[in-house]
Order: sequence, then structure tokens, then C-alpha cells
Amino acid sequence: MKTPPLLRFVLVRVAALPFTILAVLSISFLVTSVLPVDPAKTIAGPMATDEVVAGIRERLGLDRPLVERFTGYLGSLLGGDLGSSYATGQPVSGEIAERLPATLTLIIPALALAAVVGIGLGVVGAYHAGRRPASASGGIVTVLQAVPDFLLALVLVVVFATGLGVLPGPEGQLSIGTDVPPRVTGSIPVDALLAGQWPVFADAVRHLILPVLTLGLTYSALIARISRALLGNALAMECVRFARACGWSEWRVVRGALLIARVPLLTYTAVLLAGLIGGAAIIEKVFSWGGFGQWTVDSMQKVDLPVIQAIVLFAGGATVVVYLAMDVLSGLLDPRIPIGRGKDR
Amino acid sequence: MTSVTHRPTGRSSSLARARRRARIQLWGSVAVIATLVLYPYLFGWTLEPFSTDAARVLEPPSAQHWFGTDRVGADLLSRTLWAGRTDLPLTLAATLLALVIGAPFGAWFGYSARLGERMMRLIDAFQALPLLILILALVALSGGKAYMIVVAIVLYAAPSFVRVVRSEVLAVSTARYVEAARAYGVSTPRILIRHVLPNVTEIILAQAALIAASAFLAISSLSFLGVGVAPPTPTWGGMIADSVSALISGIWWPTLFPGLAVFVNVVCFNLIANAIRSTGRSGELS
Amino acid sequence: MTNDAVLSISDLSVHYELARGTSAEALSGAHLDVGRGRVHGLVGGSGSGKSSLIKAVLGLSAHNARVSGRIDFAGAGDLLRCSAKELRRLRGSQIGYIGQDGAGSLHPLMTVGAQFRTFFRQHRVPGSRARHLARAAECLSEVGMPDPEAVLRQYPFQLSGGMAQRVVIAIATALSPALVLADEPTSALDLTVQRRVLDLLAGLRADRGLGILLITHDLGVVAHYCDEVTVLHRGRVVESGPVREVFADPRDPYTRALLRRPGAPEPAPPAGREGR
Repeated sequence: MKTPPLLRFVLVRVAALPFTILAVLSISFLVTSVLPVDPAKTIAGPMATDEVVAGIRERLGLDRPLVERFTGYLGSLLGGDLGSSYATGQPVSGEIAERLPATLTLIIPALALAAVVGIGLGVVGAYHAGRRPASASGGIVTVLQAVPDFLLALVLVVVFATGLGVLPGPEGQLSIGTDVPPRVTGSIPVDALLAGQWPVFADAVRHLILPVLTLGLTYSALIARISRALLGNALAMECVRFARACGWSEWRVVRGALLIARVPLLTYTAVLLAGLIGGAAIIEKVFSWGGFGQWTVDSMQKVDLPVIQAIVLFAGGATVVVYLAMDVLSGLLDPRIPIGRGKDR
Repeated sequence: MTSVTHRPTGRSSSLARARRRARIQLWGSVAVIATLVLYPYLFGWTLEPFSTDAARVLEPPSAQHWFGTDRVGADLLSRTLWAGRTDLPLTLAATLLALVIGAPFGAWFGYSARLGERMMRLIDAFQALPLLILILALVALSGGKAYMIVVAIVLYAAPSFVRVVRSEVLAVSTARYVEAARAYGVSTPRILIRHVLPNVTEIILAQAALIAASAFLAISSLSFLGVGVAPPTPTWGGMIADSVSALISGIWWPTLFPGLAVFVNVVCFNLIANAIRSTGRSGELS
Repeated sequence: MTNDAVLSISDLSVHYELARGTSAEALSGAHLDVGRGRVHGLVGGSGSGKSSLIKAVLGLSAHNARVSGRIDFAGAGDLLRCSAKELRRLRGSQIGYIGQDGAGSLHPLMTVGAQFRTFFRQHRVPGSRARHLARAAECLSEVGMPDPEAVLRQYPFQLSGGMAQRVVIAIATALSPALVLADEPTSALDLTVQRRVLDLLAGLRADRGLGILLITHDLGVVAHYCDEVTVLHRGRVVESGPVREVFADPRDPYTRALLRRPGAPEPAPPAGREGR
């Protein structure tokens, strides 16, 4: 065989990547440009004269025709230039690289927690369908869904930081006055581990707990709903009947059902992960996290147009990449998705 | 025990009871939301959301100020009720607009299946965009204009309506009676309105309530972040954001009441969705 | 005959508790014996209580089902008095089950080999992975599967319906159970494949002396493969006895109606083992 089938499967999808990103890019450019919004006016503020607004418009290049702006934007993107912040003059790509690790440090454990809690609730809801434990799990999910994440964050802070005093309040990723470990990956707990600074690591983990708990619980409601539906379908399948009739223990039966729900569940989790890159913004803001999300909100409030466009593009691109990774992973996990193997038979 | 002694007509009675409970749920929730929307319009004169008083800053709930006062000394009960004027109409307007825009497209894509298949791929791609960031960007660029909030939420919600209406229409339009109507030469829009629409309304309304819940959460998040409706107009999200510093020092009432308002509204929207689904025909069948 | 029975059901009733104190009766006072090395046909339309009976024997009744009566199983006593754990041990090792949908009965994301391994591990069959797989291959070749080693590496979606049903039979009989419940095992298969699968079951019965409870709605199948037959109608046993007698002289109007249907075997001298 010339190319291994898996490699070919990946290559085909990677080859499609530029087109997908171009589509994301065009839509995000259009949406932020075509709608009846005048950023120049917003930047200038309500008191500004027309000349000031026109000046700002010229500096941002907003006076040029749409097509020209789009091609110019594309051209500089191809040159690897995401633009520079209107407020600070810093190149946007550098800022993204600097802030992204903090966000990933937050959202990856949060998603893991959401998966564990959500799947747990979903299993209880599906397995005990129509009985007490299921309605209890349904009730928990309803409450978790109805509490906005920022409110949950505040409640947790009041209980654990202000009230019990066992965890640090919303003061960022480290206690005030703690030195940041030498930057290797950009993720503070990981860097602290690499540098062998145990107290710093412990401090970073303690600061992680509340934001991770907030995001994890909020998103667990979504995972719980979807996994309850998926597992409900899986448990109604004939193979579950047969497995029980063959004497499989209930624990094995549930594991078998989870195996069936695994691929769609992973796909859904990927959707959530992609959404969380920007969706953690509110929680980052509450906990003064200083990651990608908080930077997003701050730039939005400052109406920093180049940064906003870059953020939308980056988040879109990240989404596409996460989806691609998930596509490949599902291909590996589900034998029914043909990725070239099986053809030899 | 008692259930054995009086056992009316079995299955139908328990169904009737379930339907009655669902109806109470439905109209109770509608009443709560309607009250919260209408109160500031009808009884606005009893509220003083904008009058501040440095002499009564952060007072706990009392007979005079039932919900206490906030950090500029405004009455929290007034502000909490007044916020219903902003957050809820925006939610309802955005949901309604998304429905009005999304539903016809959904019906169209569901009815002409081949076109719909292709258009749904486009919608998939659109929904893969980081929508929260997009909404944030739009609202921030417009400087928090109310109409832009609505536009952004519509952008986020309309595709969901297209999706659900399409799948419902797809299911109904293969039914016998629709095929019969088609065979008689009834025109497409007429079939959709006369035969398909009545059979999908409930599911679409249930979906609308769910979408309203998430639109409401999104709007609250926007105002919490301070990119939504600008202060001093009270919004629940804005009031919560405003209360953070007081909350850290243990003063709970400026956070509790707007927080409760958000919670109650989301629960009500969800209950409406559940109730519609369980009273509908689909609920009877299952 | 009762001494020789693998399965002896007497006075079995099942009713389902519905919402708020109401209930529906699915089976009332059913009785049935499956002898060692015999094939017992169970005939009945939908809603006759067949599936409630099967679930009761397997100990897999729905949570709202109330089961009463006796289900005596050779060597285990009354199944209704067995603990859940004991029943689980019996299922698969002593009582095999074959459903309608062979392809659907197998876990879609596990290879055939992995399903055998899970099954063996569940029943604590000693041996390494290689030993288990070798034994699985043996079971597969016993049900007439060509190239069993290759099949062990395959996923259910790569098997045809008939092959999948053979795999199911191989798993269900792998631990030499005394009883096999076959719930319309051929209704999803082509006519030619149906014959082969039924012949396979009949062959296993003859070789290993296992008792088979064969649920079917096809009286031709009953005439051809079964020794005894029980007819269920609306939760009650309306007819039971040796196939020859029942078919020659059906006493219940429901059975007579079944026998008059097109495709049913001739009522008078019943079809023998040679078929046609």
C-alpha cells in the first residue's frame, strides 16, 4: 500500500482546512463589516465631532470600499500578520500566544470535570429512566442549567473564599505577590511543576479550583442532557438485551452502552471545547484570569477593531481545528467510519 | 394505599392529571414572566429605580426597602422590577424575530428536501462559528445599542429555528394526508399553512421557549460583562456585575435578588417548554 | 415428563403496574414444560404474553412487572426465588438466549472476538486471551462458520444477517447451556437462511441434548422442528401438547383459526421430520 489509509484520511481533511478557514474568515469579516454598525462612532464616543469620527475611520481604513478592505485584510493575513491592537499597538498574534495557555489551563480541566459530572448524571438519568434517581438527576440538571455561570461563580466565591476562607478569591491565577515561574509552556501550574516550585504549583492549583468548578458544573448540564439522550437510545438497543441475556453484569452493560455513545459524545464535547475558548470569557473576567477570554472582553469594551477581528478569526480557526481533530478521532474510534481499513478484505 | 380504593378509569385519569399539572405549569410560568414584563409598564409609578441617596447606601432589606439598597443607595426592589422592562422585552423580541425569520426558511428547506440538505450544511458551518464571541463583537462595536443586541441574538437563534422547523416539516410532509393534498394539486404554500403548520406548532413553540431561555441567558451575560444595555438603565446582569465588590465583603442582597430574577426566568422558560411538550399530541402518544 | 424437564413453568402470571394503582395483565396462570433434548414451540400473536414469559424466565422482567408462580429450572430450583446474582450467573451459562435480530444483538463497536472474550470473562472461564479466542473459534466452527479466525476479528457490520445470527447462536451455546430460548430467531432472515439456522439449532439440540423453547408465529416451523407446542392467546395458554396431537385435533378456536391461515401446515397427518 502506498499511503497508510489513516494518513490519507488525515491528509484529505487537512487539505480541506484552508477552504474551511477561508469560509470562517469571510463570514466573520462580513458579519463584523456589513451590519449597520459604525465602530468609528463608538470609539469616538457620543460627544465627538464629525471630523474626529472621520479621522478615526480613515486611520482604521473604514473609509475604503468593502472589497478593498477584504482583499487588504486577506493579503496581510497571508503574510502572517493578524494586525495590531488599536489601543496598544502590539501585534495581535503575540498577544494570543501569550494569553491562550492560561485559558487552556482553565478550560481543559473544566471540560474534564463537566464530562465526568455530566456523563454521571446522564447515566443515572438514562439507566433509571422513569424512576426516582432519574428525576433527581433531571432536577439537578434543570437547576444547573438555569443558574447563569457568572452567578454560580459569585456564589462559589462567597461560600468558599469569603465565607469559609478555604480557597483564594477572584485574584487571578496566583496569590498577589507570588512570582510567576519561568515561562516554558505559558501555563502557570505546568511551568511551576517544570521548575520544581511546589508551593507555586499548589497555589496555582488552589486558584484553579473555583473557576474550574464553575465552568465544569455549568457545562456538565449540557453534557448531562446529551448523554442522557444518547445512553437512553443505546440502552434500548437489542444488543443490550442480548448482553443482559448473556449474563453481563449491569456495570458491563452500562460500559457497553457508553462505548456506543462514545463517538457522538466526543463530538459534542469538541463542540463545547471550541465554544469554551471564547465562552470562558465571563468566568475569566469574574476571576481576573487574564487569559484569552478576558482579553476578548476587554478588547470588546475598548472597541479595538483589529483585535476583535483577529479574535473572531482565531476562535473560528480554533473551532475548525478542534472539529478536524475530532473527525480524525471518531474515524479511529468507530470502525464503521471507513478510513481505508477494511478495504483489504 | 388510597390509590387502590378509588381507581377511576385507570390510564386516562392519570393522563388527565398529568395534563392538568402541565397546564398549571404552563400558565403559571407564563403568568410569572408576563408579570415581570408588565409590572414596570403598568405600575412603573410605584418604582424609583433611578433615585439615589448617599445616606442610605447598601442598607439591608427592611420594611421600607424590601430588597435593601445598592451601593449608590437606590432601592433594589425598584431596580430589580424595573429591569424586567429591558431584559425580557429584548429576549422576547429576539426570540420572536428569530422565529419569524427562521421558521419560513425551515419550512422551505424541509419541504424541498434536496435544497434543504445543502442549505443545512451551510447552517452547520455557521453554527460552528464562535457565536458568543461574534455576539460580543457585534454588540460592542455598536456601543451596546438595544437593536444590535436583538440582531446579534437573532443571528444566534434563527439557525436553531430553521433546524427544528425543517426536521418537523420533513417528518410531517411525508405523511399520507399531505401527500394526498399534493396529489389533489393544492399549492405548496397552502399545504404548508393549512396542513403542515397546525401539526408542528406545538413542537416549535416548545423549541421557542428553550431558545428564549438561552437568549435570555446570553443577554444577561452581555449586560453582566458591561457590553449590553448601558447603565444606569437597570439590567439583571448589570446589577449583578455591580454588586460584586459588595458581595465579596459579605453583603448579599444586591446580588441575590437580580440573581433570583434571572434564575426564575430561565426556570419558567424551561417549564413552559416542558409543559407544551407534555400537553401536546406527542405527549399523549408516548 | 416433569422429571426430565429442563424448564418447568407452572401457574406463571405477570402483570404490569401502571401509573397510580392501575395494572395490566400480560400473562395469567401459564404452564409449560421443556424436556431435555426437546424442542418446545411457543406460538402466539403480539400481545399474547410470549415476551413477558421469556423475560420472566431470564429474570429480566421490567421494573414495574409483578411476577408470580413457579419457574423450575433443572439444578437451580425456582428461578423466581433466585437472587439477581444467581440469575445473572445462570444467564449465558445455563440458559442461552437468541433474539430476532442477529446483527442487532451484537455490540456494534466490538469485534466478534471481543464479544466472546467479554462473555467468557463475565462467566469466569479460565484462560488467557489466546485460549479464549481459540475456544471462540471452536464455537464458531461448531455453528458451521467458515474461517472462524477471520470472523473473530470482524465487526458486526461486516457480517451478513445470517452470519451474525450464527455468531449469536455460537455465543448463546458456547458454555453448553441446558436450555436455549430462541425468540423468533429467523424472522429477520431470508427464507433460505432461515432453514439453515433452524437446522443448526435442531442439530445442536440433537448433539448436546439441550432443551429449546422456540418462539415463533410460523406454524410450519412448529410442525417441522418442534416436539411439543404451547399456544398463547391474550395471556392464557389455550392449547398445549405434542405437536402431532395438537395439530391433528386443535381444541381451541384460536388455534383452529391459526391453522386455517394460508401457509399453515395441513391439519391432518402433520408434517414429519422430513418436511417437504
